[in-house]
Amino acid sequence: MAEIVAAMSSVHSPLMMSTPQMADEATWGRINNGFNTLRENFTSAGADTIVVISDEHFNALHPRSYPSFGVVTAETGVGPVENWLNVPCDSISVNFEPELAEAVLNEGVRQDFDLTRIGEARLEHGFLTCLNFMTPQWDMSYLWLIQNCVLAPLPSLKRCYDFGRMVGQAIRSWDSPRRIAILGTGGLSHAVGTPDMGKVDQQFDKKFLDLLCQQDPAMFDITDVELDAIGNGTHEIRNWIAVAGAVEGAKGEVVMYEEALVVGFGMMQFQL
Amino acid sequence: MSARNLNLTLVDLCRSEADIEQYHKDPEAALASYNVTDEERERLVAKDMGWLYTYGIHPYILVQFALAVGVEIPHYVQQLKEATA
Repeated sequence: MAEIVAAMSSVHSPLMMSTPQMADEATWGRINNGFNTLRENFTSAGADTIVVISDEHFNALHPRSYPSFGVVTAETGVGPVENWLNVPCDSISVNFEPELAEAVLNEGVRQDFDLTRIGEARLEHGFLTCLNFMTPQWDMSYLWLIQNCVLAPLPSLKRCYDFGRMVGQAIRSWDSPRRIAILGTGGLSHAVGTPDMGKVDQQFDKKFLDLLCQQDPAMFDITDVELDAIGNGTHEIRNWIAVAGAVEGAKGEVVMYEEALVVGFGMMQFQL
Repeated sequence: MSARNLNLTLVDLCRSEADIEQYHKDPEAALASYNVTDEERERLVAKDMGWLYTYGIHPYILVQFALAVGVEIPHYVQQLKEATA
């Protein structure tokens, strides 16, 4: 059966690719060290497949029809969609894992999760930015699971945790020798496209990271009103919470945290 | 037209590399094939992000439109702050 050999989360600030000069050399040193730590963890564990749990930002999916939980079932994906990421549009191509996607869809039905099949999706920064630094050759297999963190009403934090738990069970039930790393992206505290853009709440971030690393269910008590007040991008902690659900019981550690590139810039990994 | 419809239109526009490229040269021409009101067209051509934000364009859609058409973030935020002051 497939095995989860690594689980981690990181911010996906697109400024890492579009305007890296917004962070100084010392900050980039710490960011690169963080990505190196995450990469070393999953490569030393022999991971050959990365399951990405992220939101997207109306680039891969359209607000005409928007799922709460989507499973990309395509065989391949190309991107980026965005013309401002400093990478030519559609210059990146990845191999997806449709068999694992079907396993997740089937497990979802067994556990009363109403998932949406996404047969085709162009890649965008929610999927791309962390992997651009961790697997720059794009030489692994990938599965993209998309959680709605952008178009209210959003699934609850608890529901996202349960989604992650279901995904973890789907992976472990998959009749395959694959070794899976799970990567959640997004957050931490930040505001996107609003007058508060640039505002970060380090106190909230540190409290959230502590709850997450301890798998403390108090993290489900964080309300959407609180997240809205901190900044609309903070709703992306749902992706970090889903990863925690996938490795329920495992404790985590913060790999790095500081304010950088307009977000509460954090990375963490679980000890499996 | 309404903000709801303009949101959908802007998503379509941002996905078209050709239309965004034309937007930089001739925004009126780039918008010609899209169903927008006269006022919306005027504000889009003017890159009036403050008006578009208060009109109800989704922040994620608006900021990516701004980036796509060359509005820098500090200027974008300043426009929004002035519009919501």
